[in-house]
Amino acid sequence: MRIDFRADGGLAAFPGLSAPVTIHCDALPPAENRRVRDLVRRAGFFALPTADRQPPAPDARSYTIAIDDGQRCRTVTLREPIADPALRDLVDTLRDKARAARRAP
Amino acid sequence: MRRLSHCGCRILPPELLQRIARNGNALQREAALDTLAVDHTLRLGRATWQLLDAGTRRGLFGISGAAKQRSIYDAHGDEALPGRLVRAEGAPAQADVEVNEAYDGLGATFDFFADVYDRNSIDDAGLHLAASVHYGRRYDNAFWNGQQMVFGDGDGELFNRFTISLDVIAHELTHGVTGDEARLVYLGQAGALNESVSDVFGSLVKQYARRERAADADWLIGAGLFTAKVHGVALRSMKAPGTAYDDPLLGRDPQPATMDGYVRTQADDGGVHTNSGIPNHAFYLAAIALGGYAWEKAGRIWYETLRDKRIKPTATFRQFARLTVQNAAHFFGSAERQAVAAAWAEVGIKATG
Repeated sequence: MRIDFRADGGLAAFPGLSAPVTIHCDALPPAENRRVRDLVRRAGFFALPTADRQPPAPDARSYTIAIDDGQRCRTVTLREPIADPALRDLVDTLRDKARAARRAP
Repeated sequence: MRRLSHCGCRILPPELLQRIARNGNALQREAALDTLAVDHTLRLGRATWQLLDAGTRRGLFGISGAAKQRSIYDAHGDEALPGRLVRAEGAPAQADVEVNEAYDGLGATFDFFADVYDRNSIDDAGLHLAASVHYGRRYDNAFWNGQQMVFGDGDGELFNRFTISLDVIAHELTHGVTGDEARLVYLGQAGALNESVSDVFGSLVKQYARRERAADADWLIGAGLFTAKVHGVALRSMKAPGTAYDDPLLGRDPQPATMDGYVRTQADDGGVHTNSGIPNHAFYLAAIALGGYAWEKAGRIWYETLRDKRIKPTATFRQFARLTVQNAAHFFGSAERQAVAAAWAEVGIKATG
């Protein structure tokens, strides 16, 4: 499973933080790979509408997530605040992974 | 009168309610008509309210002077809003620094608008100010959700807590003022104006709290927000857009100071946090040219423009600029008019003729 993640907006637009990050789940440790796949499943990602219809809230972020699991491929844009707890868990995890990826040399 | 048992009814569009009123059963009809009546009263009241000036509004309710009402909530790392109430108006300071910074920041913003522009809170009708702190997990942002402010703790690596900067708190609350007045759409040039207006009054609230003259102010937005690891002083600089930070992780401050650097992009709602550098710098130049305390002349001109009935939600930089020039002449005189026009000209916007 391949996940492309991009955060946009927020109180300021930082060029370094808005670059997309790619997460290859199969390259993660097995337990972490399972956890991320489970988050994607619990969030019902492949059934989500592609665009969030919420009007933009000033300074809130939006997230663009594209997931390819080998059989299906879907790109979804979400705006904060994210009401669904399962979806929030997924975004939190991807945000952490994006932070770690940016720190890596 | 009976009402529908669930309160979600009020968010139904009027067209749907009218259809229920025409075609529903007796109980549904009554509930729909009841809701439409309330809805109509609210809309009419809202429309009437907006035609009145602040003094008349307060007179209608026999209110003399503005009284602030603040509530600070603790979201406890969750994202459900607002969280648990931890400090209400008049309650003593807490051990939690974020709670107190939010409380004091809301108070300073309220006092600024009340003292300087005779505005009674965000909506000029005494709106209760609410903020939630400790939102989310390592959440590195703050925003206004249309009803309240939301502050994250920061990630601790790049960002400190988001209550640390008074101008950021005032920036967020000013989004509420803009939402009540000019209603600038959050997209493209109108969105960049929306952002800029929040920076303008964000900075003015800080300057007013410090009783600082325009020439002595730092004109930074979000000073103190970065941790010591970041190469940068703030999120933005109104004095010198594009110079606030240059960091290996964050990148370089992308704000242009003039129209020559205008960025065309679909990201960030059409570059609202980038191109806001241009009207930000125009305000800075006007404030320096007009001298003294920036809130007295430049701030007043921008505030009256934000409230100007002629401003459209889709205003361009040029349309906004022209109104500031007209308001400079109307509220002050020809010297002020010239100073404001010259400030816009310096950033590449022709605001006269």
